[in-house]
Amino acid sequence: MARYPLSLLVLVVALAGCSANSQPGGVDAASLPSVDRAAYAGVHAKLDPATAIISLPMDAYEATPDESMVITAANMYVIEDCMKNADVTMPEKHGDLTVKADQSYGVWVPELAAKYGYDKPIIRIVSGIYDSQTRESADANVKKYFECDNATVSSQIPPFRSRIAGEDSLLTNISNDSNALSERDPEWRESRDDWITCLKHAGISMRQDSPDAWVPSYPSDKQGEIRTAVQDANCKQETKVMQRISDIRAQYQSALIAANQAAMNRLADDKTEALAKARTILRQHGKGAV
Amino acid sequence: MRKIAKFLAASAVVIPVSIGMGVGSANAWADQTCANGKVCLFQSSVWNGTKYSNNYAATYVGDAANDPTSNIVGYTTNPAYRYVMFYEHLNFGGNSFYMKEGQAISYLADIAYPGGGNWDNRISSHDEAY
Repeated sequence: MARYPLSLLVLVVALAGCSANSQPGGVDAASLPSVDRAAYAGVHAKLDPATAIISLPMDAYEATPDESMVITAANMYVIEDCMKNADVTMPEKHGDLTVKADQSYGVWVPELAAKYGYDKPIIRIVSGIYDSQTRESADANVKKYFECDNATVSSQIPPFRSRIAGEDSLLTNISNDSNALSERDPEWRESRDDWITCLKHAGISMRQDSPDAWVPSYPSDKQGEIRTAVQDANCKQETKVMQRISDIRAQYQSALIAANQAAMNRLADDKTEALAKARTILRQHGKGAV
Repeated sequence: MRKIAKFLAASAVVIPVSIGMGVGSANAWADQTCANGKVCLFQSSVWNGTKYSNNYAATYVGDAANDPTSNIVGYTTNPAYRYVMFYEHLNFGGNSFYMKEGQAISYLADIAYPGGGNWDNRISSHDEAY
């Protein structure tokens, strides 16, 4: 397998707005905004067990899997044009996107737990759009690919995604702040404790080496893993912990979105405009049906 | 979002590091590379110390690689997965952040953790992301 020196890679440097804490790994809530989510108590997350997807207010401002495929394909053509101008062949680039269950807080759908244990199941597949038509990735071609990726950033469609390392954006701030506020909310801890108590009554304990994780200890054999996963998902249903913590997140997100409504409206408009631009790029390259 | 793209472009720096050259106090013989389709984690800053290399998806990075200090995301042949999501907990749980193929972070303490603190010594699992 080809290996590349770091000179081919992009370094994300310390960024203004990253607010790196002076205590490595420490937690300092001082930087969090003061938010009263009571005014948003009517906001609820939508949990769909059939697709194992949790829908939150911020989702409207981020790219969906299908939108992401359109954006990425358009950006591949932007990079490809740069490669062509340099007379260098694009390295191997092709493939579908598999959408997996949302298990950010562990398994929560008993039927999926019974089938897959703690593995993240594939829910659906989004067909790939771009194909470089090459099936090799020579060092020189990959090197040029990264150079073209960097050189064309301003021409590429933004990913409309929060929490990209080194990116200081409103999306990232709201996502991070709402998560941090949620985890500090007394009702969050209460919900989690109810789930852990349910597990304990079923003879399941949290991992000693990762007590804050959302996956308890489970046997190494698959059948044992599945038994634990099913009980875990049943406890999540019994205590309604997923709905409770997701509602908390949804309410903090709504409050923070409202506090930045004008900017968020502009972001939504930008996303619509960017997707239209991405589809134009695809049409220009013979991909008109997406 | 255009502002974000410009900000990224302005903040991204290609650093002149290659095998044997090192940078700053880096070990001149350290393997500071990451193969195609791989995620690489390092126990020390500037891609030094014990190196871990695995596919884009791993439910747990293992005790030896757990809680790294610097990292690299290698090239991927699938354009649908230009990002890797790094998670705080095993099995893709807890807080998380994305990195694009080709990104390398010399010191994870420079990446903010939700609510304060940073991502140094926090990564436990990673997964391919769209």
